[in-house]
Amino acid sequence: MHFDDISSFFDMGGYGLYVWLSFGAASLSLLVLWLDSFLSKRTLLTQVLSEQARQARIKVAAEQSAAAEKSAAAEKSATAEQRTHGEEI
Amino acid sequence: MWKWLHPYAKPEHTYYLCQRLLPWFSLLGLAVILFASVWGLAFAPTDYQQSEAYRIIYVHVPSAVLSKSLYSAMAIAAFVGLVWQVKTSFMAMMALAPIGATVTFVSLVTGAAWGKPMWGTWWEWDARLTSQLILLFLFLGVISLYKAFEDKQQAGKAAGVMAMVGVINLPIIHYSVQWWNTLHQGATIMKLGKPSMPPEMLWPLLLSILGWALVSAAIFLLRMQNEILQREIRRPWVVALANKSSTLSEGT
Repeated sequence: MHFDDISSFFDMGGYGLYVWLSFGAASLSLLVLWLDSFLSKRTLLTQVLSEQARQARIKVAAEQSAAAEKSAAAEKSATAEQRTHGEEI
Repeated sequence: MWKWLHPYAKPEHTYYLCQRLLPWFSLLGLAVILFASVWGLAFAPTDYQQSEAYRIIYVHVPSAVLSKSLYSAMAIAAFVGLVWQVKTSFMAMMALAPIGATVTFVSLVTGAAWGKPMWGTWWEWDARLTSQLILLFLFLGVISLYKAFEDKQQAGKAAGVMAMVGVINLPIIHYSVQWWNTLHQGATIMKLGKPSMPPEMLWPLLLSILGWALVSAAIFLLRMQNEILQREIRRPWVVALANKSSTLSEGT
């Protein structure tokens, strides 16, 4: 080790502020960049899942409304049939 | 070689290649950068002229070297994208730009922190400093130009042209210390002949450059995956991947 003790290591021959400012700024910048990259990957993957869930919901809703429409149409045609039968009688 | 390279132009294959390489680059990069920084900070001998303040070199030079290498890499990616229309190369360009911007920013900040005790000023409008600031603006310009377009193919082309035009700045940065009278000192390693530095100072410096390069590569792999995911978000393989990673509950 070049320095005699820990306090002279932090002091850096009087240039402590500048040396530690540089190393601090460098590590902070790299950390922020890595964190941003890492978190946006997680966000993207959860986005894929929520999009998939949304598509599934849309599909279910479309099926339900199609089924409802179908039954409504069937009912309508049934009553129409009854009515025509009624008219015939 | 082209036949071997071809599958990597497919985003899906590139994604899995990145995934496989990512842990190696991350761990190795972190280990090398920590080792080199500790060596440079605590074990390297002191400078006869600048005493301990010279230790800023162990972050300043790696970031400055990487800023230029990353710009070159980004411009090459832009060139490949523009000429051969390779789909993934604009993604690579956009994955590199934020890393380059960060590293350039670090080189400017550490340079300022070195300039204050040595030159008596945080900032001076001198050739080296100004051209490096322009490099930062070029990185930011490429990013914002890409974001300004809705159509990402158009965006890639526009940003790619800007990245390639900006290459003119690289030789200006490199030779600025020779062409103009400047406060900034001349080249120490990247010059003809022997580097003007004793080996016990030079080794940690070379190692920290390697560490920075590995860490940049690791972040590039991660950002490249993000670019691919963003573009392919509706593809079946991405949906399958997201489902798998959510069941494993790791997301990495």
